[in-house]
Amino acid sequence: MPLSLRNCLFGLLTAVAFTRCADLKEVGRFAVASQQVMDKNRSAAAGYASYSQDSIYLFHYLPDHLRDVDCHCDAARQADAGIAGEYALLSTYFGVLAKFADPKASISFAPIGAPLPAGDYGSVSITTQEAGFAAALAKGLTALATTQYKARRIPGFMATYRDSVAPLITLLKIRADNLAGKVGVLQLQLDRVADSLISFAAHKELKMPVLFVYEQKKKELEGEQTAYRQRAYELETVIAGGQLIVDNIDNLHSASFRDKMVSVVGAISLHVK
Amino acid sequence: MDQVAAAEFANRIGRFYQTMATQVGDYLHQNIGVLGRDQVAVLSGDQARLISYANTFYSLSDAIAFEGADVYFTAVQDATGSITDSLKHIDKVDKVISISASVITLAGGIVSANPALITTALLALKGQVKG
Repeated sequence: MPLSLRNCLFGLLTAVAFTRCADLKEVGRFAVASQQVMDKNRSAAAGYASYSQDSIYLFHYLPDHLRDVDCHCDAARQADAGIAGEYALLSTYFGVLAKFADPKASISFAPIGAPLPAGDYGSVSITTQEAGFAAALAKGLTALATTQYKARRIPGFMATYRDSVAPLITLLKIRADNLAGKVGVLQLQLDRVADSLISFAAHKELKMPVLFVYEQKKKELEGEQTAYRQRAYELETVIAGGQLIVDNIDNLHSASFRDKMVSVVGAISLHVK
Repeated sequence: MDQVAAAEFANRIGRFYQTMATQVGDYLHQNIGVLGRDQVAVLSGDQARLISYANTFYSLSDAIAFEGADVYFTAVQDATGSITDSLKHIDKVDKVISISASVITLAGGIVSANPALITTALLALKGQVKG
């Protein structure tokens, strides 16, 4: 089915289906906050391609020619696009959950692309397991927006959460952790390269330009690393929130659940804004 | 160990090697004026290898390729915390060099899934950290 038609059909199904709702405000707030996390990460500028671009010249010390540090980053870009697609799927899931919990909520849905097939994309592997989670989620979203909604049963949503959403978020969190680590390693390499260039510069006046460039790149890499660490933290908090719903599935109107969920949503919102 | 647990573990090992590389770098930075040229060359080379292993483990985590390697991982996990702490307090350059060399051997053993190499490196580290 063409992408535009699929999105159109999905939007129509959602609009028709969400005429009544369950009164689950805290779940709704959690879903909205989680959707914001997924949307932010879906459109994040940095990723594997950006990392590849930096690592190719930082790890290739003193190249002979510019072509020696050419970045063949197409596979990494493809991996980034696939991962952005996974965030779009998760965003849609939380959008549907938000509508289910509170039909007055104004939710926009990200376009859904076809999930990336399992395989190697540069240094990134999309495992069969990961591709399976994304495919199952993509398939399950339409059912969630129609039959599960009409049945007004949140367990259907949480079964999808348990089987596809939580494992997929966990994998994305590991990716964010790994990218944070890799950028940290890039910083160490930047230190080594800059130190070497400053130590061995034949003329003192050559040391300052190296220092200026070093300081700029250091700030840039620090910013990226902070963003990846923040992403990992947000995803971890979303997983904790989802688990809270699963653990309280028969108790979603209790004061204890509401208090805990308010704190989870607060933790997510604090970082997303 | 399932794939996710293996990936998380590989990430932790990556962090360990990153920490080691940072600490060797810090040591070099603080002692650059008093270290001999050969010592600087050895430590600098070790730091480059530690950086490379950290990268390898992060990439392995991304590839989630460590299924079934939990036996090695458990032994390594026990060792990494104490080594990291020890390096912070060691001020003799020979000891820093020998520890970083063993840690590099350990990484080689893990990457090649070689139990004998892992055991040898862990035993050496145990002696170096205590001694």
